[in-house]
Amino acid sequence: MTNESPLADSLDVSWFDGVSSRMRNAQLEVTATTVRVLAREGTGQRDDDTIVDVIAEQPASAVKISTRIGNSPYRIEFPDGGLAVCTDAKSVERAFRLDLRSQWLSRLERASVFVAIALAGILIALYVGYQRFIPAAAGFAAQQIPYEAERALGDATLGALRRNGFWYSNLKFEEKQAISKEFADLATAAGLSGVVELQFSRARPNALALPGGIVLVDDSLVALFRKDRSMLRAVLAHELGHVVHRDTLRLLLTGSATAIIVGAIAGDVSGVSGLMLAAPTLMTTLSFKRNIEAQADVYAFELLRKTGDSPLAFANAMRLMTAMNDCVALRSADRAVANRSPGPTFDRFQDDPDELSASSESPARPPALCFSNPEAYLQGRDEDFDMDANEDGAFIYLSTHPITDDRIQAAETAAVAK
Amino acid sequence: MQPLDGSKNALTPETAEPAASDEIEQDNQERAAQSLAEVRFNMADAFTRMRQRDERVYAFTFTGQAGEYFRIWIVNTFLALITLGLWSPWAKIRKRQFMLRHTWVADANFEFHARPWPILRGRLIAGTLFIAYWFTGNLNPKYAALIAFGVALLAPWFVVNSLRFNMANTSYRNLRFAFDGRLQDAVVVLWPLVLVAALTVFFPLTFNAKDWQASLPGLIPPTVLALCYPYLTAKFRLMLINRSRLGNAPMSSAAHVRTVYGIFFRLFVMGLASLMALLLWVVIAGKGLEVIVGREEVRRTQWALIGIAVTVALPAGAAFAALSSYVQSRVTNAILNLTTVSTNVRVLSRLKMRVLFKNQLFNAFAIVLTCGLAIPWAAVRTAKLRTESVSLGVSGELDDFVADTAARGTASADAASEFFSLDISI
Repeated sequence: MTNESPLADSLDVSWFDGVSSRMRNAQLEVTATTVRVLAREGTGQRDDDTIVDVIAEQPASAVKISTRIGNSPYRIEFPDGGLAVCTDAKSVERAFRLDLRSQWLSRLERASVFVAIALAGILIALYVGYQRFIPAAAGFAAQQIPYEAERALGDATLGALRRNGFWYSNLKFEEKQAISKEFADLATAAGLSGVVELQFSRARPNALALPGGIVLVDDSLVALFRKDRSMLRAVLAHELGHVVHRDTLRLLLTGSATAIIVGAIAGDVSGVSGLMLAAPTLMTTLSFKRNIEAQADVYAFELLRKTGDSPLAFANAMRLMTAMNDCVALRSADRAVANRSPGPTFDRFQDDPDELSASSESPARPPALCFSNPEAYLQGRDEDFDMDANEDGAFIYLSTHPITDDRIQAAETAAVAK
Repeated sequence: MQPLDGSKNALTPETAEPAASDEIEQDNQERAAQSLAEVRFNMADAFTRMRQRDERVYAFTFTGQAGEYFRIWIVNTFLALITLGLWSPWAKIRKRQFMLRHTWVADANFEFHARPWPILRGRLIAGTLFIAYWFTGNLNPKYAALIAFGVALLAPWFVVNSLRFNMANTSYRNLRFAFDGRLQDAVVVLWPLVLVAALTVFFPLTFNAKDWQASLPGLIPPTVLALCYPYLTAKFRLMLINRSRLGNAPMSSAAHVRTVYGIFFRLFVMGLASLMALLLWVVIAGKGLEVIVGREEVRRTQWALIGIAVTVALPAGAAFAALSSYVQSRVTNAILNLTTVSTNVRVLSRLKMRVLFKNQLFNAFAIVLTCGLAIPWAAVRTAKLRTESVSLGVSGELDDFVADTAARGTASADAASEFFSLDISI
């Protein structure tokens, strides 16, 4: 250490010449103007080593020092391809008079305040993204896509449904024609004539809006609303709301966007941990689905008012559908109890929602009770439903349709607001 | 060795020495017998245990700390989010540099040299293709298979360029790695993808409740993909190693594709067994729940459903973790243990399934409990255990590799190769 000038800072480094893989223990002498690399040989213990020769010497301005990343070693690159690696970050910064403040990224990473800000920022960005940005962007993108572009997807979806349970309708032709006429009037009022198309099927009681403007309605739902067709119109108006809002596309777009963001953030982990990250995607999709149902409701109220119906019809439809669901649940429970006690067993298909020929108006089997007059069956059986009353609380987030009571209330408020 | 009687205690130094060499001899024989027994069991593993003469073993070490990486991860993730992903190439470089600079072997660390612009360009190209694919594929399912076929046709070109970019931008001891693979190498590796994509065009996956036989041809492409998957896995890694070099020191792996098929066959058998065990467990748990809570209660309350989901999802997740750890550890060891660099360096890999499995479970729980904040911690933990399962057996010196002078072309050649290079790894 005798030839060390008093003004120079000296650093222990590993030296690589860039020509061979040989590593040499070396000492870097840094003065204000020059950087010298002195090779050391010996045991590797600094004090026992002897300096053998000067390997490289360059003006201090010619060497390039890597940016600091965490506590990882500094790399000091020489213009002729040589490289010195130094693990002692503090000494490098002192020797080269490095101003860490000029490395803005390292500075941000080292400042605990900014790390906290970034953490909060990520949470806020994710929240705003999920709640506002992604839905708005998806809505905007969906509106740019013509209906015809969706049509192929709609046809494919309808074909798949037709093969898997959504069999062709058993309704009488006259009834289908009458409903189609009312649907066409609704569509004209909504400015969707020529875009939408009504299809009938036999499946679980429901109405669906498929991509490309296909609205699918089930025989059992038609049977349920046979007494007052305005309720069926209310449900169809709700489905037209989905069509106008381009909800299948919006769902596809938000789902993909969420998956991409989650994937980008979690790119560092794989395996089971990666699978667990599907949970936030599912959660946002479900909460988004809940929002689009409420939006379609609002649209339906507007459309019903425009066509001379009242949003009350929607409230009635929701009530009747709830009654139908309760009726089916109660009948299954009753049947299970009856089948366990001695005596005649109940026909298991009598009001099974999957046995849907029962819901049609075919001459062989009249509509089952729950699909024609569910309220009659529920008369005086309120106490049997108390046990289910407190179940909704924990599952609000997982349920896609807003709690039915809220939807009914919204419809009634809309009816009054007229 | 314990002396059997008093006479052996009185050994003279002259006789002691042959006894000691006898002991060594016996030890060697035992070791040889042991390794022979293992040869039948796991040839690659036994190979690593046979110490070669004048070979020194250098273990890989990883010196990164979770706390350090947490700051880097948080700040760069934040920047990537608020720039709508445009920062992601810079973030990728920084994270990769952190990982490589903290990876050491034989007193030297690695470095990642990539410039952000080619990565950004690669990502923009991949993003555009993805958006085109998304819209056409999602809006018209008929075209999805055709587009997948097109992507499969382009895949070799993307893969070769991406590997070339990533290897050329990685260095050790101030020498760059290089990937010399050509398009035809990637075609030899990736042809099953084209085959599967073509089969998907002809036999699309359909489901038909009325006519289940009509949906059978749709199972052909996934089956072919499953049969080809070990080939893809093995061939891809072998291409990467066999076409790469450090400076001018070539790397090569003598591993066989059939070894990987053996591993996947065992995975298949174990997967089948796990599935049966899981089904049995579901039936038992379901019945048990009905007995304890009562049948009606099970039907009515959704909490019971969640209980079943947890009793099913947890063992299923654990089984998945165990099986994926098995494949990862065995395939990595099989390929790396027969890998050499130049003529005097061999790679020794002792990745343990048990360790990977524990790591996966730990990470999953930590990430869920911290709502994702433990991701950097999990990444560092995983990098450390994977890195430190590898070591290098070096006969002679590590100093003999020489930079590839041919590669040090002109600046314009560099710029041109950089223009066509792209990085598509996410």
